[in-house]
Amino acid sequence: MDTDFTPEQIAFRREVRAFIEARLPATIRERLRQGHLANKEETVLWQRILAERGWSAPHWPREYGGAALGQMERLILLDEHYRAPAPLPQIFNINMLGPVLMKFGTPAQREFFLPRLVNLDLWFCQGFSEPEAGSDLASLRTSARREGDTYVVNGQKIWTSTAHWADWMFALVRTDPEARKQEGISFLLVDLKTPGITVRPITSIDGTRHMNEVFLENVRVPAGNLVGAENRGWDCAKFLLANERTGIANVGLCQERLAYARELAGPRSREPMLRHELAVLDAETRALELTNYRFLLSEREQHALPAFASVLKLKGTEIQQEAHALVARLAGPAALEQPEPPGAEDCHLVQRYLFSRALSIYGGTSEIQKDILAKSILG
Amino acid sequence: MNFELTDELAALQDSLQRLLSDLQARRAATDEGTAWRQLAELGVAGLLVPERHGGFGGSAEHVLPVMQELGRAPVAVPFLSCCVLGATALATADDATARTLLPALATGELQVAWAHDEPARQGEPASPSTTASNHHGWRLTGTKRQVLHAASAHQFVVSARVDGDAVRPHPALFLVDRDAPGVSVRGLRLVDGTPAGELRLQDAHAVPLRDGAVDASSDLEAVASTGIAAICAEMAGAMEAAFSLTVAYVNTRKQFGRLIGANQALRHRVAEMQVALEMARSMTVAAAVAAARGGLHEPASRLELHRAKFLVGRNARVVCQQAIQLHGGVGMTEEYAVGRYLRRVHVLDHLFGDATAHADWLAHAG
Repeated sequence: MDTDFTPEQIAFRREVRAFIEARLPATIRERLRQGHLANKEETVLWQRILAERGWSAPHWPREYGGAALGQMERLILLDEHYRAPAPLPQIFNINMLGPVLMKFGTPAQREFFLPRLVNLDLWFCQGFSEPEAGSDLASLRTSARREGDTYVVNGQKIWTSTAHWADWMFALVRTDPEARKQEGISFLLVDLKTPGITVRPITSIDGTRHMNEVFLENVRVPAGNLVGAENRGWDCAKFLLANERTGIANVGLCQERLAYARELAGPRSREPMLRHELAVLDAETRALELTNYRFLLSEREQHALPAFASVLKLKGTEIQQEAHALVARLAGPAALEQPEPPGAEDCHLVQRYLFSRALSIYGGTSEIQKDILAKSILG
Repeated sequence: MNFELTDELAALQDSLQRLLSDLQARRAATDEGTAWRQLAELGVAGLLVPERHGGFGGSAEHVLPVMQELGRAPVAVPFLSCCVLGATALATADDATARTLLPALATGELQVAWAHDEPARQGEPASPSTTASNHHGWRLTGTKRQVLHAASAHQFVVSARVDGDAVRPHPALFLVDRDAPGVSVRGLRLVDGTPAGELRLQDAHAVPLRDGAVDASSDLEAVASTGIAAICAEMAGAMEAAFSLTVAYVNTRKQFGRLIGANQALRHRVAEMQVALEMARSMTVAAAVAAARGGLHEPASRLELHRAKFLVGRNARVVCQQAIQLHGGVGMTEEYAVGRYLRRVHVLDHLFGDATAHADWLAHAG
């Protein structure tokens, strides 16, 4: 039993840290520290720098432009990104769509899309949720009717993060209205420049635009953009959702925000309640970190609790939300003023806090995670 | 990074599990003497005793699976007081003393009891108010509170303050024979049924563990470190047991014509208990690793021990309380096992500083 990294892992961490220190523009680092989420330009810029080392798609095979990193190395890379902080590899391209194309895509799809995903030449967003299909995803109603070698798509997607930055959307659509819920769904790649698509902003409680509604009206999608078999799109969706385990706990983010909270606290760090709060979060974060490693490293543990990813997401979002709230409180009255003119940076800490409430809603709400966990424990 | 038990330890845990469930089935678990003899036959008593003194030469990591199993089982054996705390203290003794006592401790024949807490003090290694003075031999005077398994102990390892004209006051560790003049024990039971006792020393004859009764501050820390890790493991075991009972119960008990485990409110509580349990399990490993390397003496492992004792203590209480809630009325009965685990956890939380105290130490270290 030990809780140490191997010498190789320590060396890899040093290598990543040195790379980030040498190459990450200071302006990006500072904006992220102040609570901004990375914008499109920052993400693209950094991802292309990472691509030089294969780190823009850390776990992908080298033949597709990745670095074939194992779980631990990938976690270390992520941790160092949070620690810097630096923009993360774009998740829709790298964590979600890429692996789906590798498993279900045609050779032509892999050849065309994978290099463009790695280099962020194409920005993908995820078209899953609909007004009547949130947690109950399989209730989706957006339809795709086959007409010769095209699908005609009609319907509406909602909560579509970064659709306003995106070139393409991977979407779940209903190709067989008669089939049972999960069985009539297909996985389609949609070029957002296709006529009939309207992207409308949704302003969230932090006053900014992260999310969108995407309306599709007689949108003609080439049949060659179908991923996997027709009506088997649920397999792709399940694979995509189950695949996202390594980064789910976001331990590095918790650690970075706690360190930032300590820095912001200044003279307030003598307050007993504050010290106690920081101590509790420190212990919780350590427990989460070790639990993350324990499950990711041990097949025995994964077998004993197949729904372990729900444990990680539940606790991870809880700690992140507490850390964001703490940072926003420590930012004090200066952070209460609206950013007018843009540049009143402290306000972003409050915006980040407000938007962090979404963490326990997207990617399966905390209540859904508890359902999943309870089902694996109780049947 | 590795969270797995070695094959050897996994095998030990298996045999222990079998023995304990066998004892329970034969209702022999309540006979502490029998239970202890059988456990000692498995070799657990000598787990921390160095190999040259006939033991296994293990560390906090080896204690983990044993304490975890004992946490699940309704049996009060002197493993913690004698084989963890006592053995850790005796390992610091001069070779002559160690050579006399440790081989008998390793076989389970000799029981020693760790006697440190006092009516006025509890928790972290602190300077004891029991005094030691040397006039033609060492004599101790003072009272030690809630000495675990005091009545069955042959010897006590007692902490005392050495105070004299020529020396700076410092804590030292002494060996006190149960039958020595000036020694009296008032037996009692803690709320979880663990036998304990108040040890009164009035000019009691004592032998210093180390020649000259030199400063034992770091030995006290070593005992506390191993103790914290062991207690975390026992709490984890108690949580696991309370959780298993709860899972089985909500999948059996019917109300309004269906299993109560079909209700989402209860299902979510079960999920929350699992999360709390997983976090505690991880910190139990962290505590064992930290105790095995530096413990409270070294800043990084000290933080780890504070985190662990805080988090495991807090989560164990939450899980056991929820376990009672999900059992409803039956969970409130003395007869049913689930309440026992809360009583156990409540006692364990107090040993070597409760969750709040460790959060406070963490707050001041950070």
